[in-house]
Amino acid sequence: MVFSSLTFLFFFLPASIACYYAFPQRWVRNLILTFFSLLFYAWGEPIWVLLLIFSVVVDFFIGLFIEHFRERKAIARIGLVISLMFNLGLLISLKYFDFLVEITNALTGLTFEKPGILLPVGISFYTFQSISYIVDVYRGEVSAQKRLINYMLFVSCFHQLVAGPIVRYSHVAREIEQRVFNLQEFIDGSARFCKGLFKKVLIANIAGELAQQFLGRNLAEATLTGQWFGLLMYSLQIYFDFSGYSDMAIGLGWMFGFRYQENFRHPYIAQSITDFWRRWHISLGTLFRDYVYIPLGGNRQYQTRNIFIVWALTGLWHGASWNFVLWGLYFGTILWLEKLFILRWLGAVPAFAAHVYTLSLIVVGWAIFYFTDLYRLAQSFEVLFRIARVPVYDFEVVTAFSSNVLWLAFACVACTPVYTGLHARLEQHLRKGIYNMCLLGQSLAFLSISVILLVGKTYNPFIYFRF
Amino acid sequence: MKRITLWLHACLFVGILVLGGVLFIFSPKEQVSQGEKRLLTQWPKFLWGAVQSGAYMKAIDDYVADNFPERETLIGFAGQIYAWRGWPSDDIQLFTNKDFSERPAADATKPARVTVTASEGSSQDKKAARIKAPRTTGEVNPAQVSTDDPAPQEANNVSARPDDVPYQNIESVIVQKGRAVQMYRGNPAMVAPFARVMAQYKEEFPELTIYFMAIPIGADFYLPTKVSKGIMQEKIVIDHLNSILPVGIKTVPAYDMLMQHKAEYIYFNTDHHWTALGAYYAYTAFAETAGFQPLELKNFTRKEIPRFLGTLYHRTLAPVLKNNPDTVEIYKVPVRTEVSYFYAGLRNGKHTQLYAEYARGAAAYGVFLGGDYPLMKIASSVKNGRKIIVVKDSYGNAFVPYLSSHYEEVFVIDYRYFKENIKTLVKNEGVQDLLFAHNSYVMSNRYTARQERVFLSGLPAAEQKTAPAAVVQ
Repeated sequence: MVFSSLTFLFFFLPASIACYYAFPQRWVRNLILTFFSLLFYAWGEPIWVLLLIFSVVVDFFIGLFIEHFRERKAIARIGLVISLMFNLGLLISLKYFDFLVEITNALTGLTFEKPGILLPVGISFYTFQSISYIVDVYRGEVSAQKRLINYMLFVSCFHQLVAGPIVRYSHVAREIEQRVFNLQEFIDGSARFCKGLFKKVLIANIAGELAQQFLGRNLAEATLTGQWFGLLMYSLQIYFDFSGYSDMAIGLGWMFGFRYQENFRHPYIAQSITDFWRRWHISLGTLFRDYVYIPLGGNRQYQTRNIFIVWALTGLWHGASWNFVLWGLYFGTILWLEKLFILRWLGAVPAFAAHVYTLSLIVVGWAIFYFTDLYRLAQSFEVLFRIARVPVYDFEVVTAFSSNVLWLAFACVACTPVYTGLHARLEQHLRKGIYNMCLLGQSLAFLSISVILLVGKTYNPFIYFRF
Repeated sequence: MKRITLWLHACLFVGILVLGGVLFIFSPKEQVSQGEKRLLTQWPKFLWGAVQSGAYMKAIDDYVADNFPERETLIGFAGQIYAWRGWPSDDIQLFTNKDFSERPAADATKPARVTVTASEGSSQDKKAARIKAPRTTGEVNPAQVSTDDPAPQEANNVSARPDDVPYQNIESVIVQKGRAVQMYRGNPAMVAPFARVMAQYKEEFPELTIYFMAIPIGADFYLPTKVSKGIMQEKIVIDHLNSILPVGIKTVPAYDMLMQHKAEYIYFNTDHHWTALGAYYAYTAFAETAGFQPLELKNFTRKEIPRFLGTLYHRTLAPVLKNNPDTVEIYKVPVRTEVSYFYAGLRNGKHTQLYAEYARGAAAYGVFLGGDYPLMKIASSVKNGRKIIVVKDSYGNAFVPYLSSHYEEVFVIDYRYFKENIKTLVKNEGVQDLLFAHNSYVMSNRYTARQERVFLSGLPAAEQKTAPAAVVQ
């Protein structure tokens, strides 16, 4: 199921809220939330939900095992290794198998058939959550969860199950067992949810259509400005899609008493790529930092090697094909160069120049991300950088621009902290009651516009699902 | 006090969601969306297999989306919201076909590299599934669900060969000054399969007079020069097709005739069809080719159906079209007719009228012949012994009635739905003339050629393989 569907909005969400708050006991609430989460997942992946449950059970017992043998490191380590093999094995066999077969065939000249497994939704997210849990238990940073249902809730909670943010067990361990209901938080959560929905439906979906129109076409018909316009639209789509989803997840969390980590902090106003990656998909970045980069030696030992390993893996996490590896290494290289000298330069130039530098690198990066087919990627670069002699513009791009100019301006402003700043000021200066009224009005406006646009629309996939 | 307002706030939010759900449950459900020309998704039958594959849940999602309370109104609002996004340049708005924007290259030298994303695939599948429905449920009145889409198997079959590229019916649409015009993206290579089939017909029926009438969709006449760059693509393709048709097939110069009258109301503003007036001019062109004297307009009884918003309005939801609705004119022929339609064979025909004058709203074009039937027979009071078979697409509906003033019997075959052997029909009924009347989309579509080739031998191959049960009924 997806958040931006009418089934979710008008049936699943009210039903889950009503059932959940019908019972005061926390354990019943956890049970209900888990039930709804599994239903949510099974709605889209009726078979793979069994895999999810299986994986949860395995990791739950490994967690207990490690806890039990905490004093005997060697035995505890066996548990850790088994869990890593299990989770990464799942991920590799379901997500990367085709890709590995392709590589093997290319290297050896053999022709193994690709099994063509359809990747279960959200597997990249939940296996990473499980791994972080097991590692934390092993490191002794958290104690293992003693109740299966609670652990199941942590991994499968429908708020963040399919598209993040990637929640660390240590962040929600306390809330799973003893969260308190706060009415104001519920209201704030509903407002945050509506905001996310609005971002997804009004900005990301429209940007997605325009991106598809200009990037998805036969590149022989492309124009220079058309290609850049398409890329800009894709940049808007991917940000508003993903951050809108995170907003909805965080908002739902508040409505049920969970506080998830913020996942985006206005990434497109970053002043360097280093800055960008502190603002973009934060839960993934910190995960790679804490579980790969630092264990490898971080800044102290083999920093260059560590950077490239982390970024190749980050790229690969986003998808099983070469362009994602390329995309990761592209950012790895830039980050490495920034550490060497660019950051010093950027400190010396006006902020405006730093923004231009950063944004152009990000947007070009999205081209690598978009074209999973390297041949088309190369074609696109030829158009973008005028290696291929294509027309500068055509009627289509002029009309697409002018027909969307107000929307475009709105979307660009929405990338900046203007909205958040405005809200903070209103909250400061208005009486709480009035502020809440404003919030309610905003939520209803966002919700109704989103519903209007969702009705009759079948074009509504979340692009971050399969990563 | 403050706590109460907080409670109210929270309850109001949840209450609105609940209210939406309750309204949905109690609101009346429609079978068909007139505007979209398709069957709405119905509540799925519970099948364990469908649950396992996820199709069952997907169908529920579609059911909810398709049957949402006040759906049509909300879709209208959505069109308004879309219109607020900016200003069209020079009053020209472009609506691209997002379903098919990843059109494989016409030369397709590297077809294997063209990536088709999952979302596109699924939307095509869905579309296909919807189109299929009316064809297998024989009892649905085709007038209500007529579409010009080719058969589903074509849409799904993304093949590598260049002339096998699936071709869409509604391409990008341009809206200018209250008129919607479809872009035409056909090219000469695409009509070769159709010409080959015509050669087969010529060989098969040496005794018949075979006519071919290419009907322009109006792109040449009404696209702004800025968009067409002055290229008359329809003319290029039609001329090419006429030039490669086998000797002996008579071509009807409908294009030239319509060109002369392009300032008149010969195409709808909001629909992809031509008007009865456009069809009338084509009829005069046909009369000239066939060597008979056409009736003058004043010989017909004119009627009209007001406030028609057609497919292109529903495709674009452009408010400027909504404010410029069409009027469907009918020129009723001055002869008495007896009309029947057939789902299978030439037995058990059901009686119908030449004009379904009750047609209203988005279905108003269905007034002509009452929609698309696999086969129709129009017997007229003209007792001259002349008989003709017309193989047509939906453009033919507005055209065919005029022929009844000159032929004793007109057999009308819809190339999409006809499942019989045309040779049997020719032989049993003793027809003398055979006319293929196709618009420039349909003639460029490989599916057309495939269908019409099968008429020579019997059941379409695809139907035989996949849906024998549907054929029996």
